[in-house]
Amino acid sequence: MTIRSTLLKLHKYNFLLVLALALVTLVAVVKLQSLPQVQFLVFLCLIFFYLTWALLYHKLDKTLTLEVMLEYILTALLALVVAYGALL
Amino acid sequence: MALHHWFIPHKETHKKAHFLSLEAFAAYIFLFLALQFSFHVINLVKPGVLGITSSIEKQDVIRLTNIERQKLGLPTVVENQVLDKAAEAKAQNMFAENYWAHFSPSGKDPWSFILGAGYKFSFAGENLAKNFSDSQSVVTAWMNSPSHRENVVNGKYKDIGVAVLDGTLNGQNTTLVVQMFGTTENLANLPSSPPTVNVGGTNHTLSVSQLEGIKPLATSLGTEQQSSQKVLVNQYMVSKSFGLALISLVLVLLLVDFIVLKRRGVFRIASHHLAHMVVLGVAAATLLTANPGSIL
Repeated sequence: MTIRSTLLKLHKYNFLLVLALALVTLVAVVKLQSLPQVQFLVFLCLIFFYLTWALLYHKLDKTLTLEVMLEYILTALLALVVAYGALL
Repeated sequence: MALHHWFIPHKETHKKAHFLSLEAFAAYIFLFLALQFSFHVINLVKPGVLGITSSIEKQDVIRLTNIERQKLGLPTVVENQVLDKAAEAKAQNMFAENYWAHFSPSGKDPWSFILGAGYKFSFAGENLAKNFSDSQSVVTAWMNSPSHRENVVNGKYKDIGVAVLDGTLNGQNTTLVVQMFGTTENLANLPSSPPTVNVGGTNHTLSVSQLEGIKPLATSLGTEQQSSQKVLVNQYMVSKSFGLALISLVLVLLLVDFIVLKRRGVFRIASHHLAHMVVLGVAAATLLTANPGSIL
């Protein structure tokens, strides 16, 4: 079984990966309240994962277009600038 | 252009609401960055207008510090007027030289304030805090940081001095809290043991040359808490509220878009609503838990 076929099989559950990492990030952000730089780094990791996930998800789904990726990039940028403004 | 098209997908084309378009996202980002930039400009042009409102009391900081020590069965520390004077001199120097650090740009170190005030210690320590809204959050932040906790719950200390001063730091109206600990007891029981200072979790053992270079502090210092300068705009709250408003707007519109498309039974090649909502939800939670205060 190739990696691609495995990924395709698990495709419908892919969103759970984002949800799981988001929950881990949420716990870390709450626990690391006294360390805003670390909080931001953790959040940055989530954003990198989110963008990578989006790329793979839409590639497998055959719905990867420039407009779709721009939606992810702009959402990620909005989340980042707002978090940066509050934390750093 | 119909008003509802700004909030819900188009009835026929099923195109996203205008407020969810790429242009709208770019506008949100631009608006937030413009707000941050305007804060920087105001801090440069009109220093002291922006800042954080605070209600920190010196006696509360000492009381809460002692509560933390008592929890661990340690003896309480007693307020020392000379250490108060040293802490106040340190805070005043931070405003005068405009720095946020244990060591001043001109080379003044924490022990020069303690020894300069006339407190001949064998062991001392310094904790700093700024931009907290109340005394409890200051002490909690110190307790959550291992290097600051080391000072708060250090059994060697007998005395404490605290200064809470308002002033302008980097153009922003700031409340500084300086906490100094010390003991005059000879802990090593050696006649020539050098004094040691714990600064940011690092112990600095003072040399003879460092001790000889200490000058006494000017006597013009008072021990009263400096009166607070009126903060016109709490930039942190404005930034936080605006960020939360933007994220909430996008979250609600994404939810509406998701529900409307499901009801219409329409498939649209687009990004994953739930993934966006999860990431923006974490950003909102980060905003809610963020604190403007920082410790050193």
